[in-house]
Amino acid sequence: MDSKNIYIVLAVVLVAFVGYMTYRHFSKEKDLKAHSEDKYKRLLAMSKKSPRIGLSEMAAALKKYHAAKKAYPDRLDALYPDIIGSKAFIDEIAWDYQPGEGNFYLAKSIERGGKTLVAHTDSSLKTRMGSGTRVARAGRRKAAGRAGSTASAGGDIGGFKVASGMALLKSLEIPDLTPEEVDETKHIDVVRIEPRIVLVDETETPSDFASAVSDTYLVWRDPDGHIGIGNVQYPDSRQIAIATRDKWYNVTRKPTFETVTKTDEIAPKALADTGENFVATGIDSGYMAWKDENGNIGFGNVQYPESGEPVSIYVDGKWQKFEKSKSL
Amino acid sequence: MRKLINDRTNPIGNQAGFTLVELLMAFLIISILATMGAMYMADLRNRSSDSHAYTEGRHILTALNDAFLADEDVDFDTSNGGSFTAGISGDIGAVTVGDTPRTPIFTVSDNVRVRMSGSNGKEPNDGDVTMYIWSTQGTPDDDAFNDDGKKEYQIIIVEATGDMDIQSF
Repeated sequence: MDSKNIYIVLAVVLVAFVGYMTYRHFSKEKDLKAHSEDKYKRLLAMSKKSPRIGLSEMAAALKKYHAAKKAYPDRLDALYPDIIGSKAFIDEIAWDYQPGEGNFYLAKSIERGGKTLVAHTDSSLKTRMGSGTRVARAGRRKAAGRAGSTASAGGDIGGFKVASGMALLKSLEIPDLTPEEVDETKHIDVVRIEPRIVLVDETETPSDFASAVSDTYLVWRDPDGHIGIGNVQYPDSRQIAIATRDKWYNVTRKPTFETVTKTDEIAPKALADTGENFVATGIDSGYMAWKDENGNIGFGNVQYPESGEPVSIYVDGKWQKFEKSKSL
Repeated sequence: MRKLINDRTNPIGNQAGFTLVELLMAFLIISILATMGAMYMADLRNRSSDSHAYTEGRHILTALNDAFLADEDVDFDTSNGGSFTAGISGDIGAVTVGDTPRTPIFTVSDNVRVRMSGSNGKEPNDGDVTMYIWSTQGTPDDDAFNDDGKKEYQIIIVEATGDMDIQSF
């Protein structure tokens, strides 16, 4: 074999090598892409059947984003395509996402058998049924999930479905506002009943008493260890802990907004002249006030009437009807 | 052939031998062919490992079918003697390692791992489980969805609807 032949053989081998590598690359890429698409397709289908399915995946994706960017994204859209490879998985599920500084709140809801089932999680990756521990306080919604998702999903406080910020805007008969006209001060009170996330880190297991009571009432604890139960008044402290059945959660309460807001104009003083409205107006700024179908008034943000639908809540000078979630 | 070898290797009888370039070319060709063979074998091994993980997933699915869907009394809440307690949602697989909460990873068999999360639900027949099973020697997959960098197979169980299957191989 002379030198010419060996060069020919080398060229053939090189061509074969390049061809093989190209085939291998694209074949594997195609296979893995199909595998990934199938994975998301299955997950999307199952996520529509169970409230908990898919939560861990989305929460893990948020943690990956946080690890890379040192902050949680304002919207779930930011996860596509680098972390979540399927836009449908973000868009076609009723996510309720709210980012915080060191944590996030993520819930999803599905309809099954005429019921709305809600499950939630956070950076602990533990999924729980229901909308979870939130603090319903006056304040501006910090951030929305994807466009349309958080706003349209509304809030879910203490087992009750409440109108979303956009629904409240409509019910309050605010003239059509363009986005430019809806400044923050207008939003502050309109979305007052939307819960905001300020939790959470687990500390120790609460006492049996606190654990048992926490099923029904909000149980709080201030930095000095004083424990309070119920739904009427939080301690005068921004740092408290809230008990669920098995954990204490440290909570940082946001300061109350003191801004004189535009919505003051749509809370007519005349409403305060009746007894019930006087009571409701007085407590409205700090607590959620509710009214059942018999006209019984209660306030606080946890203990709602056991029966009676629809009930109302007092927000910004008006009673707002809302429905108790049948699933919870 | 013998004559050719003798001619090439007997410097006394024939001054013509392999040149350095020819030897290098031959070495290069052999290296390329060996590389292709090794890559092909590695791919086969990866696929074999994937298949192993998938088979283990099928076994898990069968076991779960017996213990989860077919047995209405099954409960993962061991805090109450295994009996179902209404209103308590027991986590399956939730764990916190140090200060870092994560979905736990279990070793199923040699080189096969499964990442699993789920809950037995608040009501009977309301449990669900999501698992991802893979082989540590499986096909590399840089899908950001994966924590492990290997091709993984998804197992989802929704007790309420009876959905239960593993992603196809």
